[in-house]
Amino acid sequence: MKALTWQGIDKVGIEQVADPKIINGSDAIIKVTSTAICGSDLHLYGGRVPTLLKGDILGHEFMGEVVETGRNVKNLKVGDKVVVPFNIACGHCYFCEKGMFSACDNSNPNPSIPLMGTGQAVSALFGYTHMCGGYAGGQAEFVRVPYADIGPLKVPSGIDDEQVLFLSDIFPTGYMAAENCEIEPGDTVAVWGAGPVGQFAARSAFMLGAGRVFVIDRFPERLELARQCGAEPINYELEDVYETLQFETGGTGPDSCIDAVGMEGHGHTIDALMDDVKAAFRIQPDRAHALRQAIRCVRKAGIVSVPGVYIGLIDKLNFGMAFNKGIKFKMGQTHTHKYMKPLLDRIMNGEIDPSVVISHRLKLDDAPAGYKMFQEKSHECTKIVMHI
Amino acid sequence: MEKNVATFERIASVLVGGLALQQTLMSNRPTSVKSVTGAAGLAFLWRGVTGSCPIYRSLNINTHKANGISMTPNLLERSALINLPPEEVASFLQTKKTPWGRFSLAIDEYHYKIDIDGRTWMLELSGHSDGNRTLIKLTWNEQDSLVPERVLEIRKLKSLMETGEIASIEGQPHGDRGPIGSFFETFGDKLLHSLQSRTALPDSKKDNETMISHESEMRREAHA
Repeated sequence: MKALTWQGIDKVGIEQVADPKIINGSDAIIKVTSTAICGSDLHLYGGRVPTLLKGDILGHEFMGEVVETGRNVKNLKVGDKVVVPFNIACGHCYFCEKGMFSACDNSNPNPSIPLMGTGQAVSALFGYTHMCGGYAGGQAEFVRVPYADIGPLKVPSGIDDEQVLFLSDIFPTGYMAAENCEIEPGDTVAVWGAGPVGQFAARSAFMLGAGRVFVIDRFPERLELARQCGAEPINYELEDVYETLQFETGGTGPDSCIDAVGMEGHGHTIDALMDDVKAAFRIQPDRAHALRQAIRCVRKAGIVSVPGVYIGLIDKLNFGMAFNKGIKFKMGQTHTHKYMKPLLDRIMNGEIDPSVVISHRLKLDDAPAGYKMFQEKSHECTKIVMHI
Repeated sequence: MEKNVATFERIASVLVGGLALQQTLMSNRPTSVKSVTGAAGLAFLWRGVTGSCPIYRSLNINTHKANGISMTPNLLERSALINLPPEEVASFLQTKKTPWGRFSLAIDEYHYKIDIDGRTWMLELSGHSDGNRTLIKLTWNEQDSLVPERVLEIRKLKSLMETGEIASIEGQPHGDRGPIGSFFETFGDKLLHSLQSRTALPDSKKDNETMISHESEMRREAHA
């Protein structure tokens, strides 16, 4: 089959590889019909996440048709159209039973590596390094899906892929980020990053009752997309984010702030400059400018919700500020499985059209060019979907 | 060469060194930058593989001696919390095959024994206070402080009990690995396991295990 593989820093390519096979009884093989490039794939593309090997198949946002099932799979049959969550969960451990699927105990076949890095091993992810399990990703013609009775969500066969594809990651991720804000009716929420997750976080904040949502970015087309859902855009290259947010909230600050940027934050202040230098020399991968700004801007006793990916150590973190303001932090990989069905219902009810974030539609063969374009944010690229 | 680097740091050094070498060989940066990252990569790799750090030596630092519980991953791997009540775990052990073969009843349904790599290990079950989960601990009575590699597979036993299978990516497709990728794919796990399984336990941990054994003995007597 054809698959997109990582070939080195800022380099991916299409290779001919072996077809995936059933390994365990709970596996299913999916023929991928649509897949997307996620912002977090760019961390891999740039070689910023350890334990990625040359030849690894990338991609954790995908959907398709079931073509084979293992002997223990009960809920799926050949021909079913499914969306697959980006994290892999067994469904039986303590964490899965509590709905904390991204903390699954059993899905990662390489637990020793994350055990050292994070203290405990978290769930595996598709196409996201060997410390996250080493599973082949979905930017390929076929993909093996473990624990197939637990993860894949069956969707109506007639529905357009673009309506449901983002249930695999970015829609639940944006939604959980907003849910973590514990929004009360009329609350003010500020979202850093108008990329796809930021767009879904803003829309989800409104769904959950927010009165005002500010979205902070520097790309006009992304800010315009945020404006279309009712959010108030702030271009940080034209306005001072802290001053603007304080002014707009009467000096109080937003009730909650969402950092949908993560480890590749960009800014013009000294902390951002130092982060850039360290990142250039690969001393520290995380550039946490957006997180520091969110901590500064949020109201006293507010919430900072972090769906953006961080992987390592962060210095210059204004933790004293967070302590003195009594901020609550909520973060982590999304418990995707928990949100897929309720969010599918919202899509079917017409509450949201997830496809609005798509800016480019490509073939799998064009994926290398797509990665380059997405990384450079050129051609007004917001989200790339590949139909296979 | 005297070891003065803790296991956790050795593993981290190997990973950092490998990453630096990988980036050196695969990036398009100027030769001056690549020579710095390449040298750093080799230095970290050497530090990780040998467990010896000249900078530590000159500063009289020795984290190898201070190798404590928090810095020794294998210590975490010899106990597991199973998401099943003790009766079901006991039933599993009595009827099913495990990654190491079959356990045999040692004293009662809460104590089992098994031979792993020539050593007899005791597996002890105890109910979690929530009533729904079971803590299993593998202990052994020999003075030898080396941890056999296969004991690290206790997570596989947990996975087998909870899900009926063990997560695996063996034989899955991938593209061309290149020489560095092939090296890490072939030897990465072996290196990791080797570092983990050959870690000397600190004396305090031995004392702790002696205490655990003693407590077990007392419970056995109480059962009797």
